[in-house]
Amino acid sequence: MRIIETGIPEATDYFGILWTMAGIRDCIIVEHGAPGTVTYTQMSFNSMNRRSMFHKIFTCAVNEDDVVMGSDARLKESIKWVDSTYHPSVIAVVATSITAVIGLDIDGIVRSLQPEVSARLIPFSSGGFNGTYFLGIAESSKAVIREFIKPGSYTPTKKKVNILGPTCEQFNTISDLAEIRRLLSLLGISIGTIFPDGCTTDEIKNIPDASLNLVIRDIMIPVGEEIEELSGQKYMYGLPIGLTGTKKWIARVSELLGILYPEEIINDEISRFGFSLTSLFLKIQPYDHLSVILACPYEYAYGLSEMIIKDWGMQVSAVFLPEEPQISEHENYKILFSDLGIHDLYCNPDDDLFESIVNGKKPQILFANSYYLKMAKSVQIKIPAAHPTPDYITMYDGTPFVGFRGYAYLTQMITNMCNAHPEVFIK
Amino acid sequence: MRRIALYGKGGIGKSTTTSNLSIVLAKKGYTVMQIGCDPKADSTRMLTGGERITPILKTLRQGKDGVTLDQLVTKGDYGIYCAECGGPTPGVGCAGRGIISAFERLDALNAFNELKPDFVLYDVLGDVVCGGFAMPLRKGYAEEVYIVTSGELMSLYAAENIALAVSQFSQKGYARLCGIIQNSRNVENEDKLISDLAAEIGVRVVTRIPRDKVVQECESARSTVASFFDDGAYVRAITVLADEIISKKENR
Ligand SMILES: Nc1ncnc2c1ncn2[C@@H]1O[C@H](COP(=O)(O)OP(=O)(O)OP(=O)(O)O)[C@@H](O)[C@H]1O
Ligand SMILES: [Mg+2]
Repeated sequence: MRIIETGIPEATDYFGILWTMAGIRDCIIVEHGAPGTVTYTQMSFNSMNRRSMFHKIFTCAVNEDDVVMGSDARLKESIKWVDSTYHPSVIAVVATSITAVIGLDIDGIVRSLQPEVSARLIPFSSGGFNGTYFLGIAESSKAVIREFIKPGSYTPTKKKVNILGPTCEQFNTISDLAEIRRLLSLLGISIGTIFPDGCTTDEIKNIPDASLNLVIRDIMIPVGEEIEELSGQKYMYGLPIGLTGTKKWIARVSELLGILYPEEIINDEISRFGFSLTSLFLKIQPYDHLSVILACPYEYAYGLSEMIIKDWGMQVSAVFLPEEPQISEHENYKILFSDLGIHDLYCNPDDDLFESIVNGKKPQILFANSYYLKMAKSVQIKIPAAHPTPDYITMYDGTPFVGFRGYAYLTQMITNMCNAHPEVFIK
Repeated sequence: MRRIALYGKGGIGKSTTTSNLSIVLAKKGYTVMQIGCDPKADSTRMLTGGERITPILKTLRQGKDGVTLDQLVTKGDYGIYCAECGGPTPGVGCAGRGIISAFERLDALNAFNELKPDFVLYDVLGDVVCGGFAMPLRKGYAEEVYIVTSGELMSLYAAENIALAVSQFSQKGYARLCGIIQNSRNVENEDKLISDLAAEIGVRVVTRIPRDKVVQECESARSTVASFFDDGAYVRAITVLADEIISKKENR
């Protein structure tokens, strides 16, 4: 049994559902649960870039009597009220743990109520007992896709892609998406829908209009697969990080879209943003001994590892992943890391393990969430790179981790931070 | 005040046995309160002329905060205080939480101090299926538990499970198991089967109640056997149980 004693309990699928559905602009969430649950949810949402769930989430505020008698009257009333007051396109009807314990039939309620409301009702009945928030994000995304994309054959627009992945708890998405948009525009590619965060249901319906889905996080791969099944549209998984990683990513996108690899443009980009650490540090500042630990979701962890090792020439001494990556079977993530020379890999570690590995490896640099960064007292250079980071804002769109500008930003940052801690240069 | 819970498989005769026990104790001059812990709310029916009293949870829903004790408790035959927890219709809600709510409200209204019963008898539905149905076993409620069983296999299994649940509670210093009540179904070898079970879980068979059609006859007259008759095999077996319970008090 794992006792959660720190300030960071792992978010359940219930949170994944809320984070996904709250990102859809014309969706409102009605929750069957106690008022306190909703308050906590709003606080957790607010901790991520100070986003607000105001007018996005409502609770039917069940009381003890509703629990004992299993009454659904209050829930039905709330759904109808939200429908007639705000006219959303979708209402996500979400169960909480109370709902799950008493076994209230959310699916049945939604089915019987649907004819009486104009919004599309989507039930989510797990209540947080099915798994982690990763599952919640994937499952709710799939449910929305199935609701709005009709199976069939489509004639997609050439040189147009969708992006599948961002939700509010993905770290640094504002900047990363801006850079991805910029990279794609260099290739003459436009973006159709960014799903799910910030999109509308009309944009979801338009997903089949693009030629390719760019899946930017592993948990959205099942969604890419789902869309492929419905509309025949292909997807590509990956995030462009570092010079090497970004070049590879651009090459794959070009190939899948039948575009010539834009050699000249890439060279121009590299001459602008590809400055090397050797040119930034002095001779008396050796940095090849610097070791880094990464604790972030798989895409960041792998991309940054490749950048740190191949582009920077530093070492990665351990990688912590919040969950076993959900990438396809033929791409074993352990082999991918081991090809980079990284063998210390931990999935879903507990805090004690994290602390003891950090204390043992003594890295100078740590990429992680706020809680891990605080825990690692001996590390000199700490870079927020994952949620939860309630004390760190990433609202400005000019601080990417991805693409050529992301490489430039991180390289500049690491130089300045090392200079601020000159003791790290001592071998 | 002594608080006693009767557990047992569904339909085994808990309510019949509890109601007759209440009558025998009342006839002996004790003040008795019987609390039905079952959403069906039919435990005390034979104490109130076959009339179903309004369950506590239903009264609470209607009256909200203004509810008084006399709205929750009804006086039945021989002055027995009758209360039914009640609960949701089958298939929805949480009956276990319902029992907890009902108990909490009785506490809030200081029921036991107001009514001053000598005996509180809890008639609890079926198995201990969740925390709510274990409520009578917790601190502040029943200290003594009896299991009603016949010699039928399913009933014996249920009895064993209940004994397990009770032993877990007694480790916390709560209710303890005091004995088995045999409510006969005329199964072959019934006495021995039940004695064996009692030995296994380390308690005595307190009484062996015969299967007797007088129960149905009195039921048709909307009454318990014990309020009609002072003697007969059925009433004698219940009296053995009552005397055993009373003597426990004197032993203390
Ligand atoms: N000793 C007995 N002799 C004959 N009939 C009996 C006897 N005990 C119980 N019965 C009959 O069995 C039926 C069920 O009994 P009772 O309602 O007391 O069971 P219960 O355990 O309270 O059931 P439930 O779990 O449904 O509350 C009653 O209608 C009663 O007529
Ligand atoms: Mg009964």
